[in-house]
Amino acid sequence: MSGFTRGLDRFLSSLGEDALSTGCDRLDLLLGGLRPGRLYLVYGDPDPVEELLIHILVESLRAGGRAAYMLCGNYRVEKTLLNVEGLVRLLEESGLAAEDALKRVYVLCAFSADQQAGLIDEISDLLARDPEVRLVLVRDIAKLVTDDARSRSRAARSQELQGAALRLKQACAERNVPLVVSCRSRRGRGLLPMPEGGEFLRHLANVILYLHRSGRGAAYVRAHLLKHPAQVPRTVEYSLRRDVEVGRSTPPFRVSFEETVARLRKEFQKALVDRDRREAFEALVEAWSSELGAMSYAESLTLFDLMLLAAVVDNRSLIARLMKGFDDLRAEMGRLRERDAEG
Amino acid sequence: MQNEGWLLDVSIDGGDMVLWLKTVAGEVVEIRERYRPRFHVAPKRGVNIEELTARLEEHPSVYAVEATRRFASLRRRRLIDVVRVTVESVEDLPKVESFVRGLKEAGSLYDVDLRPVQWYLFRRGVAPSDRVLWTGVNGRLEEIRAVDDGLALEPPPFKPLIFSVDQGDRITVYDGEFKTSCVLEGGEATALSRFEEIVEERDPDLLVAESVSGTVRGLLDRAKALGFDLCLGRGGGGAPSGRVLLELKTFREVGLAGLVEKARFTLAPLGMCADWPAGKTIDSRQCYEAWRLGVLIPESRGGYGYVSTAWDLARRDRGGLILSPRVGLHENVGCLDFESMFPNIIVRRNVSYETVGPEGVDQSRPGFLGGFTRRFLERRLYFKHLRSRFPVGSREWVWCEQRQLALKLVLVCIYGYSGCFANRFGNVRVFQEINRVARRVLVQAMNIALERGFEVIYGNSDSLFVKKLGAARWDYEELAGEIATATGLPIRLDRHFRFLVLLSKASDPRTQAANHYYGKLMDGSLFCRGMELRRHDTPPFIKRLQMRGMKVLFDAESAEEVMDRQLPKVQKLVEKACGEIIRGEVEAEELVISKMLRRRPSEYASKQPHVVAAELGAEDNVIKYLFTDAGRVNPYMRVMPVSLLNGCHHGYDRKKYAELVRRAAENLLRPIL
Repeated sequence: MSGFTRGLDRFLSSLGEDALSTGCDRLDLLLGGLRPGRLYLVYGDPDPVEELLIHILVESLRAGGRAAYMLCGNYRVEKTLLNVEGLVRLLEESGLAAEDALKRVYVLCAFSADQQAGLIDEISDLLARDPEVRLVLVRDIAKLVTDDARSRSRAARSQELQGAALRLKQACAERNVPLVVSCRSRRGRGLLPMPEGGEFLRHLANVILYLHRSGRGAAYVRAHLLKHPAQVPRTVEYSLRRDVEVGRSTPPFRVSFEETVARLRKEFQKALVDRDRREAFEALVEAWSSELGAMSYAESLTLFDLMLLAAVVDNRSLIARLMKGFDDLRAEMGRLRERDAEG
Repeated sequence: MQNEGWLLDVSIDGGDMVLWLKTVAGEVVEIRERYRPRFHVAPKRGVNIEELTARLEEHPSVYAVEATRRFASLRRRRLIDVVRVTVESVEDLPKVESFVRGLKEAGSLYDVDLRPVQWYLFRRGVAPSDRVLWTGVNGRLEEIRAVDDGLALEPPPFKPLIFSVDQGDRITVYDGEFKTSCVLEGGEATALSRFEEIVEERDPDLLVAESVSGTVRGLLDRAKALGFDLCLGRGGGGAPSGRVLLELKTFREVGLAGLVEKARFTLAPLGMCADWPAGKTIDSRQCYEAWRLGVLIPESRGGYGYVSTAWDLARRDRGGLILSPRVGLHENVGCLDFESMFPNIIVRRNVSYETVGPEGVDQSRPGFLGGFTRRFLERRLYFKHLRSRFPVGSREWVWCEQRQLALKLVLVCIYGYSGCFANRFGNVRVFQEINRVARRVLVQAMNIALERGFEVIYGNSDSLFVKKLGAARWDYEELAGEIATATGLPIRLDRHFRFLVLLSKASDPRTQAANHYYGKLMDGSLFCRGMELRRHDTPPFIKRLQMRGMKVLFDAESAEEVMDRQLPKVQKLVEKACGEIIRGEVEAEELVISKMLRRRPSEYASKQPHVVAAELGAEDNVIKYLFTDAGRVNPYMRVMPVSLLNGCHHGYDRKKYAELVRRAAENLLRPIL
């Protein structure tokens, strides 16, 4: 039959294609990298899932090309937005220019199930329009089945999701783009929790990966490979080198600032040897805090750059004030000298 | 003959729309009109319009079908072919809709998910409470049209009857001031029949009560159980036809004048729209305006999803600008406030769903959103300014206040609703653009103030706090005028403080706290934001202490006097209050904490005091409790709900309350100590 490709042929030919890295060697070994046209379903503890998605995103940007990142969630129930600050830090650590890399990421935000269905069609159009898109990520693909704003039967919502997920997988397969989707976990009958989204999504996925932290606050994440066309199910432990808080939400500027200050207090200030410098750090917090308006007004720099800039500006204003004080003293001394000379 | 009066209510009865009209002579008349609902349906791709029309004609409840052309979106650049389906009656509408959805030739349905009463009012172009002229023959409506009563202040002469039902056998009727007018008792049957007499005698247009639908239904059910027909309606029968049912809370908050504004904004019956949330209120107006422009109303599935680059998101996804407050005591401060800033940005910068795109705002044609926002903004500002001509609390002042407040509640939400996923026309870029313009405007205003020699001590989204040594009221007003000219947005001196204290964060005193301040105005009154005394969960004793502390602190002529003479007095006041608590001299009722329980107690993960109090037996959603021993390991021993307190209970945790008093005092005085 002309135009028909057998699954086995497709699978064998995909082995010859370049796989995208996850940003973690052990995961790459476990999964064999991210192969074009396959659907990877990642679920489990929210933090490691988000962390992995963002690392995959950065790796794809490092490889060149563009990526589409879709965030699904009803913000009235639970926000799902992109922590740009975290992403920027990771991009910079990877040696990428943040502005250029961020311009290469299409972000699609779906706040309702209807929007999600519409945006999945938009991704298909995007893939057809822009051949530079090399990766599609969808965070919390099944969340809006539970949290949708419109009152409809769960069956209707699930059906809509299934249709949309199938269209998305087909579009990615046609364009040879790996599709990575995440979802929340829910309790199942077995030892491991099940992914949200039902049997259809599990059936649709080529690869299913369950992630959970080894222990509370542990650095290592345990990854269980549950489904793979060429690997047997097994478990590995991994740790992503760069620790980054990502994907929770797009927090207000003030919240990002407070988090950064808290982190710097913990990671930097308490390591300062000189007591005066510790005090000086607190004075800088005051300076940043008093110019938070200007920092949040600037659109083109990252928060950390802005904090450094604000600190420099504050130092400059202190120098100017000291200089003025010094000039006043010098003038006063001159006057006293003149008076002495006269007297 | 032509009649004049007000449209009181509209409802559906079988195939008729029933209109209740109150004449200028005070008589209420019922008049009917045959109503056939309509909607539009587009053919699926590849199906021609005749094919679809032929299929639609097959349904027996379809009265008429007609091929027509309408605009597909608010951009109004492209007319599309659709079929207008007229249905025999409102009762047949669901089955016809269901039939159309099942047709393989039918694509999207339009103009379907508003209530038929709304569509009727859209088509007639009248809103409930409108002053109208109408003609009718034999109880059938021939013509009705709204008379422009312009900016009339007095609401229509609709008579309310406010009542409450206590324990089933006692009905209390209140007067217009919400004071008890009469109590109907003597057994359930007697109370019900006396209530019926009162309704007949007073012939109210509005029935106002708590949970009014349930209350009225309960009365009718009880009467039925007792074996008589309670008649509360005008057209005979039990159901209160010809009278509007209104929630007591809403009626108290916005009054009849406010409800009239809401009905005119939504074009929906008073009883229907009174308790609508802001989103639904705005949606109704948007649908009316779009329908008038010939735009098809899509089904309410929310606006289109948001697509941008991460770079764009990082730059644009920001809220209002906050210029950090300069913590401490300030003297002679002017608070300049942009008047209705966000609605004004929509109107004056042409920000609308169809004008904002990734490249900016299209100024070549007037925006949809600005079109109707302008009318209601002007109306609100008219009543707001008119209010100042009347003595506070006078009848006219109250009407102005109710009208402007009702409009304000809607107008402030247009901005937020513009990016909301529930908005069928929503566009997140509109929301972002409004914020972007607001941030720029605030920075522009700040720079003008700095150039004129003012110090900017705080700025928050739409207000700017400035001070200048020796500045008089007119200096601030002049500055406001200059900013208004430069920015093109109205701004005025909202408050002139003699003293103002801007606060830092309680959790981190080195960080400034936004929207936390208190001060004394030039007229001697006190004003505060973000203080304990504004919170519901602060005990009355601590609220009064903070208020007294402010009064004492600002009983001075200069900042020096505040610091040197008054501050020690406040400190003494606090120590005295702590002493009273430690000695147990404060009544337990004065220390009760009230907190709203938003979920069932079992749904809370932690044993917070109000959750524990609820579990122990608090009787309401607003949990009232007392700390009895806050240090106990067992959370159930830490608090006691008020319902379990007896009259002379003094067993509160004195140490805990003394700590709360000190904390409240510290929050007040921290920046100036």
